[in-house]
Amino acid sequence: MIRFVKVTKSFGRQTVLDEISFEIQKGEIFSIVGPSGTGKSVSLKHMVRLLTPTSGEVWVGDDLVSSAATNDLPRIRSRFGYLFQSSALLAWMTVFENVALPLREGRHRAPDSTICDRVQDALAKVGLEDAGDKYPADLSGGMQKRAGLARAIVTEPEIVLYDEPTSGLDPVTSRRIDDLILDLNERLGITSVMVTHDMHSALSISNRIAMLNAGHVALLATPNDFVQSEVPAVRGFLDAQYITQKGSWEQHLS
Amino acid sequence: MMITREPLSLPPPRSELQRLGQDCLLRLVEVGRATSICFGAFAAMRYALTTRSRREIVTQMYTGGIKSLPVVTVVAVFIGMILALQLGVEARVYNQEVLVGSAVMAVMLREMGPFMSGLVLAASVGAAMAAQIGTMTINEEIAALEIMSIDPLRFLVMPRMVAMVIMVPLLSFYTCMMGVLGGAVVGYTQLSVPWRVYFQNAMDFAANRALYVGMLKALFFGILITTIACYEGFATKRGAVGVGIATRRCVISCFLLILITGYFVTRFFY
Repeated sequence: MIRFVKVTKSFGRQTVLDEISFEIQKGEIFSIVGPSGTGKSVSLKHMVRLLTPTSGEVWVGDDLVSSAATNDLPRIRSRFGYLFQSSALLAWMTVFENVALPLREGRHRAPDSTICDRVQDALAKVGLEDAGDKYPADLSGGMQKRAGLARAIVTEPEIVLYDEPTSGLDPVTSRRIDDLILDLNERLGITSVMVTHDMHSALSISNRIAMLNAGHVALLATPNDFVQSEVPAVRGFLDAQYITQKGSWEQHLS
Repeated sequence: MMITREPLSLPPPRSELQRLGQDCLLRLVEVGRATSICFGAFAAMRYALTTRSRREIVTQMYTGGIKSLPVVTVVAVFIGMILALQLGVEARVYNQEVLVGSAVMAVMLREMGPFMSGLVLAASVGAAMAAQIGTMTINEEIAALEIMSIDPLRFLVMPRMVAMVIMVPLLSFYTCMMGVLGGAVVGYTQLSVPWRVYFQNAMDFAANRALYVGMLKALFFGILITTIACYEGFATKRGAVGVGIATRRCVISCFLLILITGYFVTRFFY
């Protein structure tokens, strides 16, 4: 579904991604984890061409996104929903108007008669059915994230990209977001790519986890194999979150 | 057109000459991007009559134009008063103070009306526009629009451009009239020029050509302010500090270009 082929990304002298390659399968939940500044969000932005690789190729299905023509990008991007770390809601619009925006203005333009139902449905999925009239500034961080998520899924995209979906949220809201991602994946078959520091999230809901470290993929594994890994960078990252190899993770889950 | 862009990365210069060359290149790229934003906004005007666009244009006309009326009024009246006082005091030496109305009208129509309204709008509306779009850029709202396949030029820039293209000439005309009125007050109270004589002389010198040239200047100023404000907003980086820098750059660039453009338009017609 999404394929990185020897992707290198440099900003001036700093190389953030160094010939990384991986493939994300259709319908899976794929997490990208790693310390800050290792290129997790940069990878995500390459998938929708908010960034262009210095070298290498990024494929989405049969589309070579990394060198697609500018006028072809709207079509490619219309396959995606994107939950930004900051939620990126337009401050002067209500939550309802924000969620309705891609249906009123974008490539997924829908008849006015259906917009209200679709927006209410998306808001209900994220538990914000009563917050449609509020402005983003009136919402808590968690509610803003959920409103951003409602906007990302209202067009029923094939792929949803989540940039730190649980950062800054309380544990209850974080688990609710996890459940939502899992639910969307199971019910609608949406491919989900999640960048996160939250290992609880990544291990709970992902099919596979990639850890980026120093511009390389340090490990790409299923959650179970990830926890058992002896790769020093991975081990250090897990130990810092009190996740040991000896079953403590499963204990946490139960 | 892609608005969300990566910073242009150039190799570190090996000499001062190369640094100068890179600076020139970066300035040219900036001018190119600002120009394409301007053309893109004009191209998007074919969507100006959609319901959302009409509503947004009216909102921008209100925030950019109507809400600027108090400050424009104060500036215009005092500019007219200062002009009348300075010209009147000199003209009185030759017993020609009755002509102060003609002089104020000519100066306001040709130069001071569009110039002062342009500066006031650049400092208020332009700065606000750059700050708003800059904050949206920092909060990734512009990137979000692009991912939703919503063209920021059509969604954000076009309504502002239409509003400014309409409102700046109107405000410029309003500034002229308020300036002439301010001059009349000084003429009557300090130069003893009767109201009727002042306005009669002013109307005699109100040439259509001066009015058209002034309106044309105001139109250019409206386009300049919107283009620069939106360009600086879209180019914002590095958080709150970046928004401050974008706003300052916007105001400075607008002031300079208003001066330069004003001179060349005058030079072309006179």
